[in-house]
Amino acid sequence: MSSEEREVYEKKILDKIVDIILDNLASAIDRVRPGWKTRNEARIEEFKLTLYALNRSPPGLLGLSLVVFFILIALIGPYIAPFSYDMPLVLCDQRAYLAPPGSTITIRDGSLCSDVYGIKPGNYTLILGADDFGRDLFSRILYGARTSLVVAVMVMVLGPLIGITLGLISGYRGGVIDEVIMRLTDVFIAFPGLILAIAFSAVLPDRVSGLLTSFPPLASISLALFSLKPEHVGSLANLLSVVIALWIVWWPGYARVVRGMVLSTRENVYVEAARAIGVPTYAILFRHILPNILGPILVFLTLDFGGVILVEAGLSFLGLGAVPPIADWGRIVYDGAEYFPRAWWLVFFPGLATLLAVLGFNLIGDSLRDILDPKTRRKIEFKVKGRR
Amino acid sequence: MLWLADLKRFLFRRALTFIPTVIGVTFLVFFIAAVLPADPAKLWAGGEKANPQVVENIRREYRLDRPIWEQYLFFIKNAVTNQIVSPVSHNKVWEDLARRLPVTMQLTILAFTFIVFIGIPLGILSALKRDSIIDMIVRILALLGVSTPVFWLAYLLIFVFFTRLGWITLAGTPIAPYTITGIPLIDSIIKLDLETFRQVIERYWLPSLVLAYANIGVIARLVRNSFLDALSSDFVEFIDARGLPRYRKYLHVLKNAMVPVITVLGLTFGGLLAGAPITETVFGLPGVGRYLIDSIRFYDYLTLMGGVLLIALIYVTVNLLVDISYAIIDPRVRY
Repeated sequence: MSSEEREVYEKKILDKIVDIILDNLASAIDRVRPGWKTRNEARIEEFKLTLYALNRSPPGLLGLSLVVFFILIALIGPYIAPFSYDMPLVLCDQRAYLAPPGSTITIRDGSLCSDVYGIKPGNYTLILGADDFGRDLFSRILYGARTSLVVAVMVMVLGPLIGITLGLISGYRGGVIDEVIMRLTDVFIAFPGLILAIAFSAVLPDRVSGLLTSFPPLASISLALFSLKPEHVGSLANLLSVVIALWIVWWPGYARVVRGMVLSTRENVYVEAARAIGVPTYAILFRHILPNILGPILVFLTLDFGGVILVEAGLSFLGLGAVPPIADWGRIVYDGAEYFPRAWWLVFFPGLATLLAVLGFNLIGDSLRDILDPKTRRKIEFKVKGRR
Repeated sequence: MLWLADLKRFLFRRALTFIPTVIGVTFLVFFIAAVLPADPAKLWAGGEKANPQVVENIRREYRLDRPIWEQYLFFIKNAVTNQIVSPVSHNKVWEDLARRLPVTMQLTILAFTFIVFIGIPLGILSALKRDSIIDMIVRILALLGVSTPVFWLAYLLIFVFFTRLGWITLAGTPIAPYTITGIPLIDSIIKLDLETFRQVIERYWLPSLVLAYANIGVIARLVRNSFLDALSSDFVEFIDARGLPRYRKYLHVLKNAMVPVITVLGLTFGGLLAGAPITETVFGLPGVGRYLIDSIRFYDYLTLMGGVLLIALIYVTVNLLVDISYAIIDPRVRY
């Protein structure tokens, strides 16, 4: 498609942003692997169209803004938080104990907080209140976004990858390998997901902490990722256990779905052609089959990203995973529930934050499903491109 | 009788995959023990300061000094003969779980009832009135359902119905003065005992609704899409041509639309079991889910394994039943 043709339909500002980002990204890849851009022209175009369509769906846009906001908070939250996640303000002002939203506390000059913890003396408004240690809820929710995002990214990087790879092999190879992989999948699917995750996040921490002591770099990288203080290195084992538990739970669904899609895709002539000219199996799987089933997988990935955040909050609400004073949305509710309904803010705001973050991913996933559905795809394409 | 032969073959094949799955499930449950902390015996004996002789006894009693496959056989033998004894409470694990199972069953049965009797009508309604306000509400409900943290919703509703309105009780669990199935909800229906039934509903309606909430919208959306799919199939044209009344047409469509819904309802059951720990914790119901969480707190790993095994076995059995009923209803699945 030439550039004049593309100019025919009206572009919104968001579309232009998409263009700039994708064009630069494509050029960057092109520089590393010459010829990549021309070879994948059609694919890039198709991807742009998907994003244009997303720009025109109000729920999709709402979801996109929620997700962007969530990621932004997770990235910069720890730096803009007024207090550290574990700062017990009751040490300096009694009024911080279970302070309701909007209450003001005073840090006096020469007090513990100003001298030891380096907080500037003065009046502070705790906009979302504080917990029973006088820890600022607003700061903890900002830090909690980081915890949620890092766990979700870690889970989503490996879990689906295992599932997709096994599904590809199983569907393409067939025979005994297929049978073995599918029976294995059956076993994992036989457990309601959360139950297995509960069991493994309960028994794993000891092993994980052993692993962390033998690989100090792993511990320091994780500390930086979760934005934790070095003295809380002990809590890492519990957080990482949840990640491992969710890896165990999160792959079988992908294996099954991908296998089904491969079964129908592998009969296509282009796969046969690739096989005929001697393309190696892994290349057929990852270059010829995978790109053609990527659409539905993308929808699952988006929806599951929200799902992981939700399940992680649920696990930490049950007392698994994050340990105090780590800021984690589920854990804040678990600890705050003791004071419910008197200190309602400790339950209400972290839960609301979880809801909004998860809703964002679900809104995007839902719109993507409509956009990527082959039945409605062309209709949307015409709508986006407008009349020629 | 070709039909029956077909069905028999299907059942046989299905059983062939069922048995390896159950064996695999026991392996995976046992694997939980394999990643246990280095020395659970010391924990069970009372921590670091425990008497070494006691630790040694516990280790021998639970075969922790034996090779791993022997431990597995020991676990399976005990599971079958009801000899798994909790090292913490010294009770038999199956008996402890059996005492708590009725609570979880009542919770899931009621939640399931909510899903069926709210979700399916909502779905049909939103398919019949496509792109209307109802359709929109169902869509939002489905989205919110999969986005809301269950515990958060539970606390909001407790605030409204308990703290503000005082409509519900959060203490005690009603028991029936007689046992038929052991589940008061079902027993009271069999005995037509309205008083016990009322008590059970009073205690359980809100927790069940919270548990069902995540699935109601999802099922409604599924029914809607499936209904619309069925509505566009060829037989509908034939029905129209024959001039059958509208409700007869929709009845036919509904029958066809329900086929995929049944499978998902079977899977939903697993989701409800998985949601039980959180719901039971918030509402203070002494069910299996809450018991699992408590057992973790006391390092009672055998109870944890027993509970996980129990839930998985219930779930695979339900799925087996769903598949079989599915094959009976719809001859096409018996490929």
